[in-house]
Amino acid sequence: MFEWSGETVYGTVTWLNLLIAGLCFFGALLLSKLISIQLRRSLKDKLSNEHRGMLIKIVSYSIMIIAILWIMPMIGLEPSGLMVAGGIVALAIGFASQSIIGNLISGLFLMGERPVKVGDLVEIAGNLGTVEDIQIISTAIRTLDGLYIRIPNETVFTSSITNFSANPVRRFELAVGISYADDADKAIAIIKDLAADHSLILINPPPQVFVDTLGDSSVDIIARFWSPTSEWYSVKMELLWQIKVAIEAEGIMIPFPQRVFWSGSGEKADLPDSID
Amino acid sequence: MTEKQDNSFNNLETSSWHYQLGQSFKALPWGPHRLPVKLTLDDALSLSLEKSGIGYLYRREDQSGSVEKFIQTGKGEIYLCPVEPFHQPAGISQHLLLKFEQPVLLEPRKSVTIYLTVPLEIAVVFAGKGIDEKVLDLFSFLKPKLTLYGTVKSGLVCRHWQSSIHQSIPHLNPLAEGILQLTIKNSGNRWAEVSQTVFSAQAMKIYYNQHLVAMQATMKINSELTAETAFIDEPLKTGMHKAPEQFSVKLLSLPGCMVMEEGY
Repeated sequence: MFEWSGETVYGTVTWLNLLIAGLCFFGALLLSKLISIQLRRSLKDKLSNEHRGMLIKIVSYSIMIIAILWIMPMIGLEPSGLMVAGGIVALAIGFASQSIIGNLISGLFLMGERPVKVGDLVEIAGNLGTVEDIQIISTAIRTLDGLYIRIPNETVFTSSITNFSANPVRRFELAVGISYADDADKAIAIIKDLAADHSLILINPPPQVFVDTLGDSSVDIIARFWSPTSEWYSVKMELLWQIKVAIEAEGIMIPFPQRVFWSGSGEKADLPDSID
Repeated sequence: MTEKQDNSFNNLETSSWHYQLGQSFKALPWGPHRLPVKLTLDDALSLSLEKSGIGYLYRREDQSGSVEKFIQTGKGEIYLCPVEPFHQPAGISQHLLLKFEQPVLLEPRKSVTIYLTVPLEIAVVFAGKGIDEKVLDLFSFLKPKLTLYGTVKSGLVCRHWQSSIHQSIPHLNPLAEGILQLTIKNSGNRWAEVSQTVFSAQAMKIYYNQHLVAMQATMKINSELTAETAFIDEPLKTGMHKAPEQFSVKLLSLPGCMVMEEGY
């Protein structure tokens, strides 16, 4: 009944060989699908979407490559021959695609180290923006003015990265100058009251408000506040004006830069005629 | 708190209530309230849901401003209920840090039950026949403050609240604050000094009746730095209703209990 299976198709390859090879291929395909589904389910809460997708691709491609190398002898193709040819081709491709390989390896290291993740506000190689996507070759960020920038992973890996979203909270600083004639303690109390009244300024770490410098035109007060990382900038923008209004409402002056010229009584100064 | 008919809202089609805080009260304004309705709470906040064209206009006014929403629906009613205090500021925190005004010293392998106050928010919920309930609005009589529990690197941004320690249910403003019955158990071999506790929003089980909003929780001290907190899904008094949970454990796949690893 199955005599046809022993008939050769080409060389020493029989129909049976082709059938087994086909079954093995579809079996490997099925296995790779099943493992992908299982990985997607089991890693749902453990890995981010992009990292999970990347891992699933690597695993399923690896299964298929192993299956193909295993099937090749069944259909009369020797992998060793391919390897020699493949080695030469790989050498040529390797020279031609050094930067791609560099980016790829950098991408793998970035995925392991995870200095940034999608949604973080970062500064990479002088580009400030929100991370939109991390691929194996490149990282995409959206700048604050809406521009899309694709940065090769090798650049990301070798540059210094500032991640503004890495911590749940951050500190910001405001500087206020008041007149020398006014009471700095009163101004400090006003600023502390405003901070205590603001929902988004943290109680702990506590705010710091103090006289920082005695400047040319003003007594300079520094106010340092902690706020949730996602909110600090809006709080900063809002609070500086509130401080200005509250301080002036209490009769404290925020002076302009000024210089006092004093001409004295008009008498001739007692200066030496020359300096030896 | 007194419940009385408010003459300023004398309207044949509108039922209205006036609740004054700080006085003895008959009942809290949880409802249900048939539409149209006007409520004035503590002379500081008024809310109404009145017929407007083919639908209803929801309006809430307080010192900070007003909120208006047009609602296209048929017949229904609204009710108010206490909810977890994490909606203001929105999306920032899902943890509550309760700071004790006086620390509690607990000897090894002993437990103590204390009463604390907790901040509340109030949800205005629309309930119609045959349709899902819809939260129309969330508000609070308290100004929220935030704090950090743990380190700047890996800490938690928490809603901050400071409470005195009471040995029985204290008098409080029931529209703004609820009662937490907390059982602290020292499982360690050393004395424990507890000055704060942290809870996860995902686990908060709020029960209420016409006079009180209450919840129960446990705090198990494991070592000098770590403790575990969890809410108990049981009413403090019989006959209390369970408030709808705004933060579902199942939905977010987050643990219901909270492990405090940065001290207590």
